[in-house]
Amino acid sequence: MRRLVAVVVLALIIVAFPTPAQAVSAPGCPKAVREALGYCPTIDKNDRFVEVSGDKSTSDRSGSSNSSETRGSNSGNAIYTPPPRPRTRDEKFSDCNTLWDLLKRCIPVADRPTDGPAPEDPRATQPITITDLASFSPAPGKLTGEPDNLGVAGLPTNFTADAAAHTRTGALFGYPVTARFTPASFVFRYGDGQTRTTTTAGKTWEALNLPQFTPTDTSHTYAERGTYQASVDTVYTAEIDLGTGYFPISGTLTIPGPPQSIQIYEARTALVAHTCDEDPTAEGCPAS
Amino acid sequence: MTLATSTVRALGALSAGLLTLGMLSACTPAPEPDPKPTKSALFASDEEAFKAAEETYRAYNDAGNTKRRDGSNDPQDFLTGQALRGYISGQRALEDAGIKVDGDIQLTSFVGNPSSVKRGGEQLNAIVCLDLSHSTARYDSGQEVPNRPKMIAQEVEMTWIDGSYLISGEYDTEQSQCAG
Repeated sequence: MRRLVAVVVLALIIVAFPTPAQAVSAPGCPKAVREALGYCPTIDKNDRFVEVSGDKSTSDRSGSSNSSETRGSNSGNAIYTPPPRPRTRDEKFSDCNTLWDLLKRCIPVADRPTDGPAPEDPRATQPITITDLASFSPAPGKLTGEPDNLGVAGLPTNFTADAAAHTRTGALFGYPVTARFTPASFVFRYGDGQTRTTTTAGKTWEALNLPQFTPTDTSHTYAERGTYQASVDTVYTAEIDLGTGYFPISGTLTIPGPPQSIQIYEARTALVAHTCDEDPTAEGCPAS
Repeated sequence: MTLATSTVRALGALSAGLLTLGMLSACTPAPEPDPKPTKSALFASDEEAFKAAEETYRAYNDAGNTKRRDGSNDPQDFLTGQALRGYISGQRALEDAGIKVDGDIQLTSFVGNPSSVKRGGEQLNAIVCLDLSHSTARYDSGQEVPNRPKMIAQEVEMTWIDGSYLISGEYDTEQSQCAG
């Protein structure tokens, strides 16, 4: 509760005393929307256009009745687009019904008069992105080859990654934050140029109740003998907690794992008539 | 093939492999490990950074075209942060409004803003011009979206993440920056 109060106080402080760099906030404009409409209408928190309605009208058009212009034809089902009415400070706040939204995009500093020169970067107030969390250094996944980081050319070598969900604490913009990282997928890099992306970290043959050298979701068959530097990239999703519960952060963070040497040998079969004791020079025997 | 047979074969293969391990490791020199390429996140010049960024943006635009044609590509792969959230929100809003785009969008120019380059190219902004003249946008009813320009301008912010650029922000900008 104390943290919640602190965050609210921070938000109010930022509202009351905006820095020059926060004075203007350029609107986001998704390319797909701009391509479809030619301009960027406001999208409300329910992912609906506020200013556009068509035959399938679902938009909230309250507060836009005083004036409107026709962007479409004069046919019976014309598309009306009311000009965007400057929204009041209170309306901007009402869009955000959570503290998280308040911090992310509802600091209405643009309404306040600014003194001095215009800011250089109009988008200084940016939401927290997944890249901001890279400094929390989520754990790299370690790759293990089975059996014992060895393998046989032409037969599947099984791989597992040990990455698991975990939390990290740190600070963002001077505030303590707990970030929870959850593996969403894994990119196994086998070291021979081949990769495989999976949503599983893989399991040992024993855990899968399978005999050795059986193909699995994460196994790989090397064509040639040799030593390969294999690794696994762990793709994390993240949530953060500012003291009021976890909120998801869009995007993923890919953390490369350390290389692991995998020794691949060649297996040959030979038909022999005696044991090595009986014929120490036979194919495959120590004295051969 | 019975379980017993497969077990015997598997054990046979394993035995053969292990049998030769000692012999091969003793007699055969281990080949050198394949060299791993090292990643470089920075660029020698802004021009190089903008060139790499444009390549990513062009692939992003192509992915949108391919997705409209056959759904085989996903523009989301090129997005992160605000741009990703905007894309998802925008797609939902377009779907909700019953608006669909057909045809290809062409990237006609990508002009980097040298003063936006941060930390040797880890983040930069550019103005892109997109030609809409080979595409149409319609409502479910079949009616075309009116007053759609032939050319649009957008400002994009791109961030270097894990060895490549991603589009981290898409913003409205002056239409006059693109001719047409």
